[in-house]
Amino acid sequence: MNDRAESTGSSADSGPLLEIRNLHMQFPIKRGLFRRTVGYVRAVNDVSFDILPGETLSLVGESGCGKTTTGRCIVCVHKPTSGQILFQVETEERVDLAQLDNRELRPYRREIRMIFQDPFSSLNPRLSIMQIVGEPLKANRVASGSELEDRVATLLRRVGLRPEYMRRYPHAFSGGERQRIGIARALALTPRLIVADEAVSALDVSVQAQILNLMQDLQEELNLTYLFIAHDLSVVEHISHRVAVMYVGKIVELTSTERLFANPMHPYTEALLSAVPKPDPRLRNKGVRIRLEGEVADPGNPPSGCYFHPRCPYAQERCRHEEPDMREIESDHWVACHFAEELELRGFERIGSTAGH
Amino acid sequence: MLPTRTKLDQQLTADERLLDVKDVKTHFFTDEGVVKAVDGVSLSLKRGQTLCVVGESGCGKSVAARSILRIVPPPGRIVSGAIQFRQRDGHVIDLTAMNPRGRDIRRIRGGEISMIFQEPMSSLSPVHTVGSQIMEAILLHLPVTKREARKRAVSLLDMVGIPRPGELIDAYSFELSGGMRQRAMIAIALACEPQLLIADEPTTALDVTTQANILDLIRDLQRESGMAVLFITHDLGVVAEIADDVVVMYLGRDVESGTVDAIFHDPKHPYTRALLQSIPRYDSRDSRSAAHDKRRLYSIKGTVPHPFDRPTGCPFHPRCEDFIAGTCDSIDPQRFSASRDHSVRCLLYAETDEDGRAKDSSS
Repeated sequence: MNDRAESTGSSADSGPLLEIRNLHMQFPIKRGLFRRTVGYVRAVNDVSFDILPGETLSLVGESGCGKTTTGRCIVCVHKPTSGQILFQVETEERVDLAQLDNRELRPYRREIRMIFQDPFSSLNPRLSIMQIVGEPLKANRVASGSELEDRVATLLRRVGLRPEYMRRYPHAFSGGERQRIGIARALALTPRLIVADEAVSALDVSVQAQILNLMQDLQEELNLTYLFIAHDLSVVEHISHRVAVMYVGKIVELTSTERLFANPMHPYTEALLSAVPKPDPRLRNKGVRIRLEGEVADPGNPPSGCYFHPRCPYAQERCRHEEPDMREIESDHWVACHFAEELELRGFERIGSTAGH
Repeated sequence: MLPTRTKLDQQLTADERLLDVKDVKTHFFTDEGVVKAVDGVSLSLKRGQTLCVVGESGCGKSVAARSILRIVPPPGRIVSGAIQFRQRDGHVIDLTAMNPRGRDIRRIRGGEISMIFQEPMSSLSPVHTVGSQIMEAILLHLPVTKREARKRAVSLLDMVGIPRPGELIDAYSFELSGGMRQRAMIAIALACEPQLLIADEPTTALDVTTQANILDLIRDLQRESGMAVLFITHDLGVVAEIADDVVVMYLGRDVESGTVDAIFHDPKHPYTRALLQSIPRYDSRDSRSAAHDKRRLYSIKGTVPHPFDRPTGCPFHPRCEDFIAGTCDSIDPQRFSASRDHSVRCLLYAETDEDGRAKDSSS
C-alpha cells in the first residue's frame, strides 16, 4: 500500500500521462429505409479520469458498459463525440488527441498501443511472425532489412519467445504464445501507454498467469503504463494500482485497488465484488451474495436519475430523479452515488471471510 | 410447477450411481495421425450430485462430455471403455454400445440426458422462436399435444427466470441478452426433466453478475428436481462454488478426482497444485509481502504438448516440478487412492499405495 502511494506521489510531480476530460462517445441508431437517425447510444457518457505514468489503471464493468469504447477512443480508433484526451508530450506540454486528424495523430499512435483480447483473430494468419511484429517498425520507417530482423528478434526474446520462430505463421502457436506475439507487436515502437483490452480473458489460468507475470515484468523494465480493460475482478485486483468501475457508459467509482476491494462505496461495486466466485469451497454459502435483478440498462435509452437505481438494493426516491455527480468522498476515492457516505457496503474481504470465523 | 414424472425415480436410492464412465478413450483419426483427445477417463456421478470436470483447453473435457451423449464429431470415435447409465426405469445401459444415430440414443438425448453449451448464441437457432425450440424438445419426448407443450414451455421459461414468459416465448434468440439466452437454453435442456444435465462451460461467456445468477439458477433447479449435473469448466472459482466432486483432467486423462474440499485443501497431483497456485487470489493485506509490485503468480513451466506428440510415461512429466527422472518418463501411472473417494494418477503416491493395497504400478 505504502509503496504504491509513494510511487503515485513521485510520479505526480510530472503530472498524469493521460488526462481524459468529459469524454462522450455516441453512436447513432439508424432505422428505416433512409437510415434516419432515431437516437443515440451513449456508449461513453461524460467520463473523466487520469492515468499516471508507470501505473496500471483498470476499467471494469459488465459487457456493454463502455469500457472497450473508452479504450478505443484513447487509441484513437474512434473519434470521440466530445471531450478531451490530453496526452503528455513533455512534462508540461499536453496534446488533445481528440482534436487531431489522422495525419497529425501519426506521431502519437506510436506512443499508445493496444493488446487485443482474442489472440486467434487479432493476428493475420497469412503473415509470418516476422511480418506481424515488424509491420509497425516498417510502417513508421523505424527499421528495415537486417536491422528490422534484429529488432524483431529482440522483441520476441523480450516476450519469452524464441527468435528462431519468426518465420513461422500464427497457426503454429498456442493461445498464450499468440498473446505474447501480440504483446511484442505492441511493444515494437516503444510505446509509453498500452491499452490492454481483455488481454488475458481468453486464456487458461496457467497461461493467464504467465502473461500477467510478463506484463508486470515489462512494466518494470520499460516503465510502461497500462490501461487494463477487464471483467475478471480477481485479475484486476492482482495487476492494477487503481480501478475505475463503469456502468452504462459512466464511471461510478474510482479509487486505489486496496480501497475498492476493501471498502467499496458504490452499491454496484459491492454487487460486482460479491458476484466473484471465491476459489475456496469452504467459503461457499457463507457471506452475502447480492443478486442483481434485471438487466444492464440500455445505453440507448437509459433510466432517469442514477442509471443504477432500477437494480440498486439501496435505491431511494431521490435516485429516481436526480443524477448523482462524481464526488471525492475521501482523498482519491471518487464515487457517483447520493448516499455514498451513509451506506455501509461490504468489501471483498468481508464478503469472503465473514464467513470463515 | 411442472407436472413431474419422477415416481419411478424415487424407487432408486439416492446413493445409486447414475452414470459410470469407465476408462473411456475417444480418439480422432485424422489424416495426419491419431489424436488421443480422451485417453482413459473414469468418473462417476450419483443422483442429485454435481460433478465438475476441470482442465485447460485441449485437455479433452468437452470431448469426454460429448462422448457420453455420443455426439463426438467424426473422425472421432470411442475406441474403448464403457459408459453405464441408469435409465429412469432402472435399467443400466451401456451408452458406448449404442448406435450414435439410433433410436435408443435419441430417446436418451434430451429425454434423460441433456446438454447446455458455452455459446448460447450459436447453439440456439436464429430462425426459430425460443418457444418453438422448447416445444420441439417436449413434443419429441413426451406424449402431449401442441397446446400442452406450449403451456409447458411458458412455465419452463418462468421457472428459469425469464420475465414476461408469455410474451418472450415468441421471441427470437437474437432479441434476448446473453444471460437470457443462456436461461432459454437451460429451459430447453430441462424441458423433459432430464436425470442428468451436462453443462459445457455454460457461464464462461457471461458477466460475473449474470454468471452468479445462472449458477444460482442451476443449483435451485437441481435442488427441486434432483437431477445430477456434470459441469465442465476451467474456472476454479466456479468449481469451488458449485461442485460436490471434482475431476481434474490433463491431456485426456483424469489426473485427480475427489471431493471439492479434498481437491482445494488437500490437492495431491502436482498439476492440480500448480493450477490452484496460478489463480490470482485476494489475500489479506497483512500476509502479502511488502513489495506488492513484485507479486508474481505461479506459472506452470512449458506448454501443453501438441496432441501428436504425447510424452511417454506420465503425460505431465515434462512440466512437473516433482518429476523423478527414469520413473515418470517411462511408467504410465495408474490411479492410486489417496483416501476414500480421492484418487490420483501420479507416481509420487505409488509407494503409499503399495503399502496400503499392494498394487503394482510398474506393469
